[in-house]
Amino acid sequence: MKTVSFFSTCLTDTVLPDVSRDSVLLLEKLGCRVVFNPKQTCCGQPLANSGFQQKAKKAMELQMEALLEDEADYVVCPSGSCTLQVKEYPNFFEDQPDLLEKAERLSEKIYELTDFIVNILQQTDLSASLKAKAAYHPSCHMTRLLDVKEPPLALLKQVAGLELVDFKGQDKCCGFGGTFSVKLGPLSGAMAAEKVENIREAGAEYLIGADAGCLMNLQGVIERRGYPIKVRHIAQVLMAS
Amino acid sequence: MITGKEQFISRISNCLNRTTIPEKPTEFVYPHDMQHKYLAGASAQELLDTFITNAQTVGIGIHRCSEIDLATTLVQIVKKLGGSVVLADDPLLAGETTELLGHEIDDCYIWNTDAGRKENMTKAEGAKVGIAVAEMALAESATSLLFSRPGSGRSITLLPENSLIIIRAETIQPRLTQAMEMLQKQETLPSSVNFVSGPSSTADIELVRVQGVHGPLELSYIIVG
Amino acid sequence: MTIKTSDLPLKERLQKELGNPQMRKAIANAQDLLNGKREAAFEELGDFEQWRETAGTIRSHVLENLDYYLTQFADKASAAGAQVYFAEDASQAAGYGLEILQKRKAVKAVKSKSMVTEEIGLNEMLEEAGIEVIETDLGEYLLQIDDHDKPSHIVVPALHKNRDHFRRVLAEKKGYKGDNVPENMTRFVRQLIRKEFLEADVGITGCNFAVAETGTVTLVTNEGNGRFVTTAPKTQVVFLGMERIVPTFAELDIIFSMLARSAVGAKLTSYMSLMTGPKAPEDKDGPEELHIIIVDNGRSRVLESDFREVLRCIRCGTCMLECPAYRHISGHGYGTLYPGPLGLALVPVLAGYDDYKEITKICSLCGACNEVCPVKIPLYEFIFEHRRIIAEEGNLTPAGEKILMGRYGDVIGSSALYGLATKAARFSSFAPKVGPLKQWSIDRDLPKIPKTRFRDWFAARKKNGGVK
Repeated sequence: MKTVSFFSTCLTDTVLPDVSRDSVLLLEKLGCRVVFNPKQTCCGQPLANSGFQQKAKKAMELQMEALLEDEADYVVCPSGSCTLQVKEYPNFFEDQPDLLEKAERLSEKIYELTDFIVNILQQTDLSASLKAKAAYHPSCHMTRLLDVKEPPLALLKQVAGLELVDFKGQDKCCGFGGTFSVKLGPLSGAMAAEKVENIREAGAEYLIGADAGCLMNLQGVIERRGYPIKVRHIAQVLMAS
Repeated sequence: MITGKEQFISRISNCLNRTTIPEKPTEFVYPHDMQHKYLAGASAQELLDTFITNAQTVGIGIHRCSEIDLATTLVQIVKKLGGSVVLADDPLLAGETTELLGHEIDDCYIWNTDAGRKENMTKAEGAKVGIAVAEMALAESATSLLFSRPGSGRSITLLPENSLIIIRAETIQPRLTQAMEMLQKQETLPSSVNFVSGPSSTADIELVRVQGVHGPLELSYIIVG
Repeated sequence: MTIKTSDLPLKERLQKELGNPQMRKAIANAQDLLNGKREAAFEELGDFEQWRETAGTIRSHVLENLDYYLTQFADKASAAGAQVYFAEDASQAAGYGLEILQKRKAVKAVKSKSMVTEEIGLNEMLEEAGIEVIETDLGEYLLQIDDHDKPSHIVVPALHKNRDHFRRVLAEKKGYKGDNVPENMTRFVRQLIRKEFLEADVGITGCNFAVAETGTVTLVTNEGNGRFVTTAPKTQVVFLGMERIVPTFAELDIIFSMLARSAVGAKLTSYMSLMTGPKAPEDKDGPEELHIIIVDNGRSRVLESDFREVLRCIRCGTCMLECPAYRHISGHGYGTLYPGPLGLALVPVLAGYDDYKEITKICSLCGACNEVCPVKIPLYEFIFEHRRIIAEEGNLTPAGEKILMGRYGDVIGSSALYGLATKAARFSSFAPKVGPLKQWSIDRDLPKIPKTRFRDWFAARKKNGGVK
């Protein structure tokens, strides 16, 4: 049995707890033993992406401690963007050998949820079902920088009754960008609005993604505009039956 | 004459963490050789076919003839376009071709090495058709290469509304790579080498493609052989 | 124009552009169309990664040997009969230009599109001296007669304006009586500018790339204005950004193969002119004099910095066409001559953080630009590094922001503080009218914070023996 240390991320811990819950249940359903180390907080990305790398390092050290402490076989995270940040920890500790070793160890151990299911657990058919037309949003960090492109699609293709629709500008950024969304709110909102309009135009009843930040961003527009599009993290879809 | 070189270059050297210019540059090794793979080993016929297809795709007119028929072919095309002609003083056009054009076309001006700048340019500006001969042609981009020469000014293929460029079939090469290799072998370069790959065009208003801006409105190749 | 194109503060500038639906639609259409063409062109070429790796390596090699290649180029160009000038900054570069024109008593100059001349404010200096300067690229010409409107893209400068607008401008300024069909307006301008070409004393151009081994300067255009400017006037003045060099024609092959595909999705542009020296004595047309002004203007600062590789740029504009932020604000939103991801990476080091630190915010770090840059500039990494420098070095960030970010770092750096803060958040409903969240909630609803955190659920479940 594989032991997985679950990295929830601050956003799903506090704002979208159902995403983390379903991720854990999914991993357990697939035969993993899941541990959650409560010392964990946030990967530090909001600070690092705003330039405050030194101020982010305390959080990074804390995550290294929390996620390595249980000596699990793997660390799994339901966010491509946060996984990317943890993967890049070694870049921040190049001149601190003891921490660098930990950063490298964690960087090797961490997987984004769908990547883990498809490439480590070697599973694609999770006998989920959702009878609906859905749009999938490939988040930027996950596809471009983490290079996890196919796994979520491979999993969604096996969901009974689910029809994935392509839409215009599918691979474009949703405008979230972490602190970008509050620093330049109107620009970020314009990017999100275009994405939502394109999803709506494609006739999607559901919007599915693998990054809670993007989903929260797009959901904000969908709610403001009163569109009947339901927003789901891929873990929630894979647990649906 | 060069002005202000020493101080400028020494600052650049400083930026590169050295005090003097190196005697030679660091060794450069091409990481890949993909540019030589395009149409490598293609037959003359394949090169010709690719050239023609690509030319037609970008709106270049294509005419074909043997060297013996060049004169009559040109006369036919020019008559159809109507109006006056300016043509290069080129060995391929000299003799029979030039004579026939002069005979059949009312206003046929041969780029005149004895005349001045003004006369040549005024004639080119007034001509409806400009005729020049390409040094080489490139299949991939449907490009013709023009060298400026005393007998073949830059204006011939620039000022008249219609450009006719004569291409010898055997000069068609795969792509830009071969043209650059040819230029590297030149002992002296002409003051201007022009690569022409289409009629002049723009998309500056709403990205709508408009053919014919400052250069010729129409471009045709006459492939000989 | 200079590097700075707007004095408005960042947020006001963005608000202004976001409030221009016609521009936003035009830019979005342009992105979709040109990106599609570019992708098709590279698909046809094949091996995009090999091509751009080769192109990037060539550019990097040139930067590493720039003192050598610049010297070689200047010597060869001079040997071919050109006059070469090295200019350290904008005023020296434009000054050389003015001096050349004044010595020849020039009253009219025709110009083909050149970013470096915009950068050094050449037109303004010449016009002040009473010399008429006519932009001959159609888009630049239309902007020029439209009361010197500013370009919104470096390759297609008038992207932000539509045909009706230009019909009005042509009617008002030039007595155009035709309709709004682009072809008809283009023909009208053709006639206007042709006269100028033939009358002008001097032709002014940029240079896409200079060839060190032969002293050759090059110019690529589709409209043919580049050829005209270098054929009709008796004097030609070329402005060359100092980094725009390739060693030999072999490297020019690679760079040009990338440039046309990246910029406009074409295999090559309609015209590429390679000019070595002025016209030969026996030639009947072309410039009798060729002057080449090599411009630094901040580039050596970039060269010696950690951002050196941004000088690989071939000015194709692809990163702008791919950028999802540029899409909504156009080049005007940046307030800089070089906009988009390139602008974010280049301008703060070319012209200083004091004036340009703010633009580094115009990026969601989506990474799209990195994937398409034909010379593999690590734009994402450079923008990231600029932000670090702005936050951590010197006094570029206000103390208040530093304190706020420090507190945030303390909270996520401590399990206990994080626990307290996230517990508290659930009892205080977010107040969208204050603080940074106000920015979020202009166009979007804030999420509702659930009562139970994931960690509470997990702990409770563990207590209950691992059941749901």
